[in-house]
Amino acid sequence: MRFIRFSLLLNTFLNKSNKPKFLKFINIGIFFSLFAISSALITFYIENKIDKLEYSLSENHILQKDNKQTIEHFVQLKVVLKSIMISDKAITELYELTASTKLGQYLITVDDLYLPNLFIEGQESAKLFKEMTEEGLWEGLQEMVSEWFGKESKEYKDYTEALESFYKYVDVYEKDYEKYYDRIFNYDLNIVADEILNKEKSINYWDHEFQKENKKFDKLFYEMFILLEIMEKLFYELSLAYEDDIFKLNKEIVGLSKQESKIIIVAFIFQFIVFIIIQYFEVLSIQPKKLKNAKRKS
Amino acid sequence: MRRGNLNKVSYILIIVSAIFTIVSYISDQLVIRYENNLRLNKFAYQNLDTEIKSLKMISNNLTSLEVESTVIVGAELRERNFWIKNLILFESDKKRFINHKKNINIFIDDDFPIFNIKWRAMQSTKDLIDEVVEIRNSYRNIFNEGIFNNIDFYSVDEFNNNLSGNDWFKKYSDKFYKFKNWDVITSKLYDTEINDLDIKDWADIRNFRLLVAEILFTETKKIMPLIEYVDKIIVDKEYDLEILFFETKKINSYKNYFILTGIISQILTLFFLLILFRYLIKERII
Repeated sequence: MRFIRFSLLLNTFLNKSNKPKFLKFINIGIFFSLFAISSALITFYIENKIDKLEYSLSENHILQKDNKQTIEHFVQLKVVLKSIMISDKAITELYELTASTKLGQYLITVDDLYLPNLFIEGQESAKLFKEMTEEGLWEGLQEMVSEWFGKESKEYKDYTEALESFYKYVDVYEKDYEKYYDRIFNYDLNIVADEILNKEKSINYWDHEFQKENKKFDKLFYEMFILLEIMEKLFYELSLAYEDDIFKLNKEIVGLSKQESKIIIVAFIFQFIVFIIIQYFEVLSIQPKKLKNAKRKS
Repeated sequence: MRRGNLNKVSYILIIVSAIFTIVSYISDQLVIRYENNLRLNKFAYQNLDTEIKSLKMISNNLTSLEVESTVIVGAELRERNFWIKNLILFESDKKRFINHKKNINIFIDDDFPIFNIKWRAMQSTKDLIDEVVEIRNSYRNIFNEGIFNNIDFYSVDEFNNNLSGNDWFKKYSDKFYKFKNWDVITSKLYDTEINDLDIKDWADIRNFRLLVAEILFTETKKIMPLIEYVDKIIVDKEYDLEILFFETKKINSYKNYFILTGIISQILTLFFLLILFRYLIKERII
């Protein structure tokens, strides 16, 4: 209750005998506030550094996320394409086997077996492949492979060979298969019936352009799978590199945080020592005055 | 110095303390403002992230359906003439086919081979209808998303109309001998005995399957530009998301700086006040 009365507080200050005590408390207060300022400044400095590292860490996380998504797309694309190709091939081989029978050679023609595939592929993927080859996508990826694995690596050599082979067959997409639309979606059964009576379009002679084009597609996809496989390997290794970078950055940030605590403790010890020394000399400077005053009185 | 009167140094110390108090107050206010901005940013980020995930789901589903449709069309086109040629050779009463059949002379002299071919053709027709209905419904589920309401190059209503089959028999009546409507075809496929179907019925079934494949092919061709449209929106939104992300980081950094500035200002205020009291006591002003 005493200290609520302002006049009493003021009298406490004005009392000469209390002044050294107050000075001591004020000095301790100044010491703690200096320590608090220095800790805050140290924290400010180190937080600034950590901030920059966290920024790099965030960037790496985003790159890693994008990379993982790319890998996912590659794998999905490969799996789906391969599944379709395997089942397609199995059915085609079954038809080819059937066509090699006495009955089959009349029933299965190149129009029936190979033309639909050429037509659909030509429609669906032609634009995509055209964009990929014109924009130099494969060459760009080749650069990446060369930078990552090295020009002397097996991966680069395989990639280059596959790419050369790929370009040999990619012209299959330049052909216009849309002109066969009416031939495929033919509702006139008289035309279909006439095919039964001869072996003109039989698939057994392997001399028709549709068969050759179909084989080109098979080879094209085979080379594309090799390219995709090497790219997948590159992205997996890139993913490991990003993980390494993220780990290093995390370690650096944790290191800086620990360093911050240590610096603050060292600063405290240093300031404490300085404060003790200053207090000692201050007390020492007050004591001779007291002795002189005491001597004068006596 | 006279007791009780503040001197120049005292005033300077008071003013410096006041300045740091004001700085501390301003920092606190800025922290509150940045915290608010951070909150708004986080909301925007979460909303955009959810939107992107939804668009990716749409793109992936459309791609999967497109692949499935292409596989169905490819398989159907390869098979389109095989069983009908068998039937024509087996069942046609035209002399040239009868003679040709005799010349080939490899047929099993029984009814079951041709019955098997017919039965398989019937089953695969029913399977085809089921597959197309399933794909159509899957597409319709995706097209319920709001993004498809504002696309000028694609009409969901047109898709629904084309794959509903409502006007197929009217529009393509020249392709069929006997099939005039869905009731007729349903009756032939599900209610009629296989051996009661004649060659014209089988011709109609063959043409019906080819028509289904053609319409599915035409509609599937329109899906790729749609996927590209959605993917482009995804790329744009991901770019915006990245900007929001780094903006959030920046706001967070500023918030932390202002918190530290506020703390330091408060400590400096206290420090200068302590210096002031020390000075006042030492100079015997109080």
